[in-house]
Amino acid sequence: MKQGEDYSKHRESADEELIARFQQGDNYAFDLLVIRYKDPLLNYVFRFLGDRTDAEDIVQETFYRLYKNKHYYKEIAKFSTWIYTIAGNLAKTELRKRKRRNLFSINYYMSTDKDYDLPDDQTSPEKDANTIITDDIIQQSVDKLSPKFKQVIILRDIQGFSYEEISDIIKIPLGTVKSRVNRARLKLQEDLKYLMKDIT
Amino acid sequence: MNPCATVQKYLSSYLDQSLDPQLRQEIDSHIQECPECAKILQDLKFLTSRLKNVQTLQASDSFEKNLRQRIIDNTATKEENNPLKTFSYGLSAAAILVAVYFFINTNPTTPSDNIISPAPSKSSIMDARMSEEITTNPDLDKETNTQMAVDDSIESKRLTDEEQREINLVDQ
Ligand SMILES: [Zn+2]
Repeated sequence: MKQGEDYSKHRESADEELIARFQQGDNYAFDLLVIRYKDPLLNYVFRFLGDRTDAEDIVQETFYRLYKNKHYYKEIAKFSTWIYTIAGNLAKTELRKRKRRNLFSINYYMSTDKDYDLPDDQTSPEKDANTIITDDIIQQSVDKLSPKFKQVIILRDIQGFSYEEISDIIKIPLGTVKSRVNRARLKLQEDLKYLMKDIT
Repeated sequence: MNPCATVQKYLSSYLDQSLDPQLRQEIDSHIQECPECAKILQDLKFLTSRLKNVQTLQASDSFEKNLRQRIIDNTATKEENNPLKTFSYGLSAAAILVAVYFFINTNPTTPSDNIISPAPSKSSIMDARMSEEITTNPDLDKETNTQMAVDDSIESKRLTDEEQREINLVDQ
């Protein structure tokens, strides 16, 4: 069998078709879902946790659970919202664990001596061009939000989900999503407004 | 509620262009007269576009390899609790499990469920919830599953190196 052909044939398939095939025992479909979702999920969880290694571990766990529990997925949900729900729940659990371990420091407010290490990948020429509000500053500000605000702003403004999709992912009413996004944005604005004095 | 607080409640919807025209007009006229709300709106515009452009990460090169290992390890953990863990085939349990995984990947029509997902581990809430949804075959107890895994892995041993490389799709 020519696996390459088989692979590209599936490449354009809808997520729901892939998960259906995977449920029927086609493990290529699983591979494709991993390829399709590993980066988006990594970015989602990374913005949530602020730590690349932990984020990658959570995304691995997400796929492992998909692998193990594939029949739990029912067609009534979009696959993307389903997998984001799992990853989001695992990320929130991780945050709670950290809180319990008391390792989650929030005392890095605008520190210039960088007691908060972002992964190396963040240090790119592109980032340096963003001189005033860097990715680090954005991340630090996002980290200060409580999980419920953090989650909606990542999904809406970083990952570009619609309010309806966010409502499906985090299972709260549409109106609540909208007001939560608004409040999260206002919190960030409040936090960063002194830096935006000259640029907006 | 003072007018600024009311206006600020709607700024996101204003930015997302999802307000009805009348409310939109009211906010427009407030913003004309209120520098504070105008500034916040400007900041929000800047922030939303800035958030959209934060650098994106890519999963590490070893992502798929590690995922596979995780799947194998979790299956191996179950093996350890099983009296059938000694094999007469001269293969380590890990090697067999690797082979099983590859075997499954090359045979999309193989009913793999009984081999890889005998029962979810009982370590978390999510697992417990999910396990309710999973129907297990009553005829196949854990030992039978393990025996099947062993039998199938012997089959999979016949795969050539070249085939194995082809199976490793995610690395290509
Ligand atoms: Zn005002």
